[in-house]
Amino acid sequence: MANYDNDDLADYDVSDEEFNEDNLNDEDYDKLYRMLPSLKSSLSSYNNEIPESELKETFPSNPKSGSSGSSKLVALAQLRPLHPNTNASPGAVQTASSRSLSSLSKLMLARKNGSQMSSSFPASIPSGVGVGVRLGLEPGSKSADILLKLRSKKATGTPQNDGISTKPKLVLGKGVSLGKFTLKKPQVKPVLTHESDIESLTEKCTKSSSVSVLSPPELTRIQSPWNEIKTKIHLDGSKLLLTTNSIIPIAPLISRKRKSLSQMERESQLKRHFSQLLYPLTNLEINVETIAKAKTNFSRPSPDDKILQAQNDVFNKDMKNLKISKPVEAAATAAAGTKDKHPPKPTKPFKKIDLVSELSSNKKLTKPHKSFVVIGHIDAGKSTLMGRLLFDLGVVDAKTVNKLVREAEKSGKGSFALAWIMDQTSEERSRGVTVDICATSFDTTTTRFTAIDAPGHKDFVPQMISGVSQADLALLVIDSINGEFEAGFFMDGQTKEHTLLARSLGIEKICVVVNKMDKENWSQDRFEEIKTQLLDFLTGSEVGFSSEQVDFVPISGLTGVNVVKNDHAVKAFDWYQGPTLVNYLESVGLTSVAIDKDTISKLSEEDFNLAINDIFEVSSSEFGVTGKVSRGLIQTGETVMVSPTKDYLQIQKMLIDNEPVDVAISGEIATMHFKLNQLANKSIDELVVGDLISKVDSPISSVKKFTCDVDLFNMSKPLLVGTPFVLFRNNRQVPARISEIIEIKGSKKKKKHLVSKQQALVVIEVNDDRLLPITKYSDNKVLGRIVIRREGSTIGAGLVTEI
Amino acid sequence: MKLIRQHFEKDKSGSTTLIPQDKEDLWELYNLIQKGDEITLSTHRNIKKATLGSGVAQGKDKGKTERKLLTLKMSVEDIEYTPSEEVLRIRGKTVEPNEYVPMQSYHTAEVQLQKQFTLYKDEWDEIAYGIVVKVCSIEEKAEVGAIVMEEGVAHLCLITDNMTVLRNKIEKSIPRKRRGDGGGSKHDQAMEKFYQLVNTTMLRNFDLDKLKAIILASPGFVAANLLKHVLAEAVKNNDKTVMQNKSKFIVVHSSTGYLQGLEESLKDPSIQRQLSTTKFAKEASVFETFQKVLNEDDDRAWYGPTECARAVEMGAVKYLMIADALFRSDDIGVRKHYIALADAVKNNGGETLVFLSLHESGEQLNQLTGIAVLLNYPVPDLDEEDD
Repeated sequence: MANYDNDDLADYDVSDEEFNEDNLNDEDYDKLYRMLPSLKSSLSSYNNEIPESELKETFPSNPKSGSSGSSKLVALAQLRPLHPNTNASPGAVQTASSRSLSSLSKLMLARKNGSQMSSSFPASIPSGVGVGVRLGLEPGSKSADILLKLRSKKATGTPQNDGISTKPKLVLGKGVSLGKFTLKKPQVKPVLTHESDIESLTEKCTKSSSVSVLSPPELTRIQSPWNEIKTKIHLDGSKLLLTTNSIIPIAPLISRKRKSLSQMERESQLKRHFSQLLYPLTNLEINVETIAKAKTNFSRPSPDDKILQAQNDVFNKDMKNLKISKPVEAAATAAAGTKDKHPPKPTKPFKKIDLVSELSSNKKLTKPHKSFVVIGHIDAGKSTLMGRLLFDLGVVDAKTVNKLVREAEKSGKGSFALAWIMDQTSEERSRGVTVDICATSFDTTTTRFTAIDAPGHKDFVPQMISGVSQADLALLVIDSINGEFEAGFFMDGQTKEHTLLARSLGIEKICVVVNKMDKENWSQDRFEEIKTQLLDFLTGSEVGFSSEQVDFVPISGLTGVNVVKNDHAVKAFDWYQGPTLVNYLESVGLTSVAIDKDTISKLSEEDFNLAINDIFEVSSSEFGVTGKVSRGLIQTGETVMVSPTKDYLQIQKMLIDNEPVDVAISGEIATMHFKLNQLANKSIDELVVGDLISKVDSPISSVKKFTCDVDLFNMSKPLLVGTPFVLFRNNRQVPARISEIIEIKGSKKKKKHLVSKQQALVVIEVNDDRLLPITKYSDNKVLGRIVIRREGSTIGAGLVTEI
Repeated sequence: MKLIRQHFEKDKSGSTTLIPQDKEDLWELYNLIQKGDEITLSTHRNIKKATLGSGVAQGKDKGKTERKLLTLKMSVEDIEYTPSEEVLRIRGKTVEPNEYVPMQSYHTAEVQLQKQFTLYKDEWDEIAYGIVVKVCSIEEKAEVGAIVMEEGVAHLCLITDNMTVLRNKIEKSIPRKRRGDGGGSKHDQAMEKFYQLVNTTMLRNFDLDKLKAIILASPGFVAANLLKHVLAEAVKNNDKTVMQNKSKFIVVHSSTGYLQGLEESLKDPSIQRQLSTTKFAKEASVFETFQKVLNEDDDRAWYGPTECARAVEMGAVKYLMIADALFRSDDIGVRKHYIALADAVKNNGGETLVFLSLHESGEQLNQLTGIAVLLNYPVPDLDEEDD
């Protein structure tokens, strides 16, 4: 008490009445002592060091002393932090009114703590919640009810002990909720309003005024737990005092009258920081009338209950949201490029299946799957070889083949009969040329195959590229006839370009199928001659396969010798002891490993990607897409995203080899069925071959410009900045240009053109309205590769380094 | 364009009166008219309605405007040309007072076809005068239609001496063929629909009677099939226009259906015979040679302003290639510099080719700094910094 500063007190026009329990009338006195023990016992669970005088103060205030309340409030507010040490002795004389005020000050402290917590909210909400939990207090919807209860208790004027345990909830809940919803933190203003002009401020701070000034007795009880809390977080609190607006009104009040040496320094600090902010409010003259008015306001039910209720409701609702808000936000940022579209929530698979057992028991999936593409110079016999394979394996029945043979003979193209198994369109048949790729699947006893027949004509290299993009290994068909091989190989034939493309697009194994050996009388010399030349080329610097990646098989596609079987009926072919083509295909080792738990968990962690290779209508309301799964796995029922259109589609049905499946994994060629009306404009013309399908939260981005490392082949003209070319990413083709050459390897000069065999880091700009979905090479080995073609020839390949 | 009058002073200043006749002329005018020139032309302007006698409108007419045809003389500040809309707009400040328009008020005028206007320049340099002479010659102009396509994609363009304009782009997804009975039918159906679409779009966009030729370019057989389709449709619908212009269709090969395939197809000899656009052809072939030489890397091909200026200084230039954008520079100094370069090349027996940026080759040259030279003999290290 001695450290009161009289000047400061004078500022507040204080009548210096002190608390004295003797001043109470008998009735009150009795009441006080009747209640004290129970109060103590119930509070002891929080803090058993609460001095008796504190508890006495909690006694209902004497209305008579109301007018002097504010000054006492101030005084006690200052005392409060010092409380454990400096508090008056049990016999201390205090005015009745000061009791209410001290309780207010405690409330302020409680609020301070609350606001402390709230101030930590913007940074990290969970930690704020954590505080609440640590204190054993749950910010529940109860708090509002509790508040109501408290109010009713106040009306009766009979405090009850059972309220104590719930009160902390009230305050914390409120503090937290205020922190959450009103970052302006108006909750402290009520303190000021009490001593100045309530009328003018009520509107601003209706939210909490009633709480701060409402029934002192109940609120006081909160004090002790809050003191405890306060000390716990005191260190933080002192910092917050300096930084948070919310506690401004308290800070000066505290600092003003606190003269203990230990706090002098802090006080001056606080003054420095807050004096300007504070004085305009605190120095308002006290008007007795307004205080009286304020008091009458308290007797009315305050609108705060409703507001608090609303706040709590919203708060609780938000708390629920908060728990799941992290993934939602992550998804939102991932899809930041999606203009205004927000990705829908991922949907669950239709069937709940155990991936491990499904993948290890499903016959379709346990049998290793290999996809190969048949490439080579035009008329090397690619389609015929395919036809032979299918016919000899019994995939195509004799009836069909007989029919084709008749048709072919009718149009004078007898030797094309087998090729017509794959060449289905009228144009391909009439011209005798394969135009587009044709994928078909078949089984042998050990392996499932997807075979892709690619066109050999120069004009259809784009289609051939999309075929290669679907395959793991390539069969390079060579026409062994004298002169034909040389034409396809040396004279700007497709043999070279196709192998270059296969290499650039990441084919891991290449099998050279030396075809038409019957026409060369199965000459071993011829075979060896071709083998030597091709091996030199394939393992040379231009293409760059290693010799382990290359194998050679001599066959005759038209007669079928050594394709599926080799009965050694041909004497001249006795020199060959190697496998037949099918045996080779079955035995060839690919990096795709057997499925076990590890691969499954790896696959499910990976991002799912499928590049669309075919789009077709299934019915008037459904459409289908086919493509190779390049990463990850997917199940029916899941929602996928199409890049770059950002359409979100739910997989209705999935097919592998024309049979329905529930799950598709990396390496499979899968067909998916979607509902047409889930497309933005309900038309499949919106999608193009090469669009990517991925999971909803996939980080795939669609770009106009990207950086890549290009490796140029032989060119007749330089590649200038701005020269248009066709860019292939996997099976997507777009017109593009180089917009900037960042660096030419081995050259320091800044140039605007690239010549043959140069390597350079360039920025490529897509020259199309449609964005190009692409990934970095480091993220996806398939989708991060590009090939550059100009005027009908392949001039370079590259790896995407940055997007 | 018709030249009505011209008058030049000794200091090269002077005026010409011209009547633009077609949209080609507008493009030439875009190159001719520059910031700082003065132009007199008739144009519409919204004028505040005024009652007779007093200058200000009163009563119910207050605030109302009236559209009037006026003849204004203005100093050019900005000029813009939109090839797709074929509109040339000139923005400037009036320099002569008018009954309705005070001096120094801003006005934007559209240059109208068949309406004469007078252009004043402080200096008629060779390039500017060359344009006037060129556009007023009566040699026939060729306009050619072109469709560059592949399965599922088609680009419809119009090509003139000065520009290539993309009129329409068609995209349709074509399902792939599959094995088994009828596996190709969906594909065939979709292609049929695609040809139909291209055909109708073409007839809507191209005036077959006016065009000199229609180039159909594609890889594979797509273009040939389109022609078949077009003719079959014409017979079916008894379309006389198509039948009469049957011989104008030329099917050529291109490696791709994207727009870049057009340039490739224009190199086809059968096209070059049909097109009188010798100017464009010459530029394209010189640029082609330039690229080949550049690839050989034997120091005979250079690009970039400093490199080219040095080469010109040495008198080694065989061909100087300049993008028209450089001549269009607002900076008189820049413009003069390039004119001087062109003159120097001419004096040394070389040739200057101005590339039009609305053609693919000009666009490419623009990306390549806008200026390039092909030399008579190798000059190494033109790009070395001076010490």
